[in-house]
Amino acid sequence: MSAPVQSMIRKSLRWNLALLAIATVLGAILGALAFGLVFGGNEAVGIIRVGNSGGVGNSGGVGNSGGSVSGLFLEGSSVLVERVRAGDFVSRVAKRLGDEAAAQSLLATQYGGDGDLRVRALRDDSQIEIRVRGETKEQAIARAKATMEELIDQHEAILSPILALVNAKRERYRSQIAALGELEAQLANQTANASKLATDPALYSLLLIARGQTRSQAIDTTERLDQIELLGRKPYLQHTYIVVGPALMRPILSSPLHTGALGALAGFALGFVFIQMRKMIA
Amino acid sequence: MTRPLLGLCTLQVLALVYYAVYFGDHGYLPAPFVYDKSDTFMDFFHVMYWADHPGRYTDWGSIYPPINFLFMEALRWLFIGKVQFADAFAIRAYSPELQYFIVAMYLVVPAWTMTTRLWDDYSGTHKTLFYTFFALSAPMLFGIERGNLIVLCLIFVAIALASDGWRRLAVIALLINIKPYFAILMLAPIVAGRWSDAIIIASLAGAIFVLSGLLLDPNFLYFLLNLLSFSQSDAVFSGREVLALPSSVSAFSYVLAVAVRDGARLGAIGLDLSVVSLSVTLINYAAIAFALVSLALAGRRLTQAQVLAILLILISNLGVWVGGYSMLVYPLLVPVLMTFRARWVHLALLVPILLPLDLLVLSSEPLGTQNVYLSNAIMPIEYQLGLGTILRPVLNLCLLGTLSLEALARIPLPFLQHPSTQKVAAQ
Repeated sequence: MSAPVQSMIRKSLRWNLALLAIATVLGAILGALAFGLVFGGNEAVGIIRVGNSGGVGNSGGVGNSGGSVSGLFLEGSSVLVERVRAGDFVSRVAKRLGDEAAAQSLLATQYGGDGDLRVRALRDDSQIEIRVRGETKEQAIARAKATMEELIDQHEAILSPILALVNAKRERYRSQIAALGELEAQLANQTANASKLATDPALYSLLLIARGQTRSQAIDTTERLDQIELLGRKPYLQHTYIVVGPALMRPILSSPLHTGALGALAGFALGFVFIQMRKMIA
Repeated sequence: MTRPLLGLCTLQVLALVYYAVYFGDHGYLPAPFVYDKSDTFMDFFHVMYWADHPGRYTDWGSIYPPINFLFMEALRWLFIGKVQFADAFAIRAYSPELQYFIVAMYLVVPAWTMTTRLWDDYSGTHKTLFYTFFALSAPMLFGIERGNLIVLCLIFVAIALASDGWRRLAVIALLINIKPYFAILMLAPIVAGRWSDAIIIASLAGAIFVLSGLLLDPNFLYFLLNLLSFSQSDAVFSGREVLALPSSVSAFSYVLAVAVRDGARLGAIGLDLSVVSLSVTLINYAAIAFALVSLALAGRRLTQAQVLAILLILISNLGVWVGGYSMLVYPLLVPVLMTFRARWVHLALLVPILLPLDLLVLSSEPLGTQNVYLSNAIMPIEYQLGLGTILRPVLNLCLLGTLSLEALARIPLPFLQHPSTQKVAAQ
């Protein structure tokens, strides 16, 4: 091989190596920058189970309306998702956090906010995922926690009167059953006396009828009590509660070093492709 | 050629009229459109929703490479700005413009492909007739109704078939980043002995994947795990979904396997259903293996466009996970198939795949009521099994077989040569 040819090969090799090095370094820098620009911020995620109202308030008092339990949520998922992202709710969360600026950050973009709070219903509509971004890990967690607590408190405000109504009815039925028991006992005594004396068959018949009616009333009220005892429990009446979190999201690429390394790899590959394609075009 | 083309176009137009009349009478579209009538355009809107959601690879388990989401982000920015949505259905309800965009994409992209070098040998009239035939073909209408992004691949497939050199390599790398199964196309340069081209495609595809991932999501590497679990899972689709527009005979084995799992024990021609299912799978694998061997042996004797055409047909035969959408690229293969010796045999197998075979309903079954998106009404739905469901996968497998045979016939082996050729060689 002649000297000029060797020199040309060496020059071309040097040029290609330089190109590969530049592409690799550029890729690494872009990768590291991407971490700050694209993946910036911290995100906390939590899942909430929406409580059930148990169909309380339907005609006939407390009772199953015949619908499925899942159809008796304290709040429908689509309404909830829209409401949580809107102004009133995020203002309350900001107040809870003691950080008025958080309202602007959490508000959905269509309402002029930064959209740092994301909410979506999971598959069966009973669970709601809440994702919140924050500048620091602590802020993201605190914001997610405040959002979940605000939602739980609001649902408690809906559920409390229902629980109070259920408890009041339960107590009323219990006292009614007790009173009916006493009445039935009295009627039993009077019936026994009337039977012994056998003076007034009409009174005896009336007492028997009254005792029968009292017993059937007591049975009916006991059934109502059983029903309300049942409906006052899960899954018919259920509080909204936290299923998971809030926990900090930990992505696979969790540092600029990771993204920089991947960027370097991509840069090297692009440099190689450029060198090869330059030959083809030439 | 004009008369047969006119006849085929008439068939397609008549099928379109039938779909319209059926829709008018029943309030929903018949076979081959998917039985889930509330899901119209949702292939598009699900991707668009998750484009703006950080859980795309972790919660949704997406198998779309990052570049799809970046494209969707751009469209989202163009059409709906910064609005955040509760779910994908809310985006569909919010933006009719995007629905028009999907339909426009399906009309414009095939028209654009007719302007590439692929169709240089055809007159304007022929191109118009071909376009009408393709735009109204069953896979194309099926794709519009689902709103699948594969229509974008037509642009790159057309460039890959029509050009060579660095352009071909670059578009194959892009195709892999839209639908990963196009990675099979890397075999085209390999069978021609051009290993460096395959390395360039792999490097470029990898670089695009990493860079688009870095622009999108810190969890984009989960895509690789999702892809692995998706291709290994045998319970992703329902039987009816698989039978909507199947491209591979593996749809039959899939449905039979599901039936066996559900307790069906009926024998067919004295055979157990699981044996039938396994036999169909084996036949499919054998055909794919035969095609790969033919290409490996005859790759250097075929043009790269011809190899790519065979590989595209091989992709659609791979399995149910590829989906009937893969047949959307078939119209682009017509000019390439015309360069084969047994062109009329290949075309006779390809053209029926694009015809409205499902107008002939083999069986139907009431599915109860559904909320039909297109008519915005709750209607009683009847599931239909059309002739296309049975014929298309079989024709597709035969097409792969005839192309593999022709490829094999190019190898100068004495026992494979025509007697006249052998005589000339002997002289």
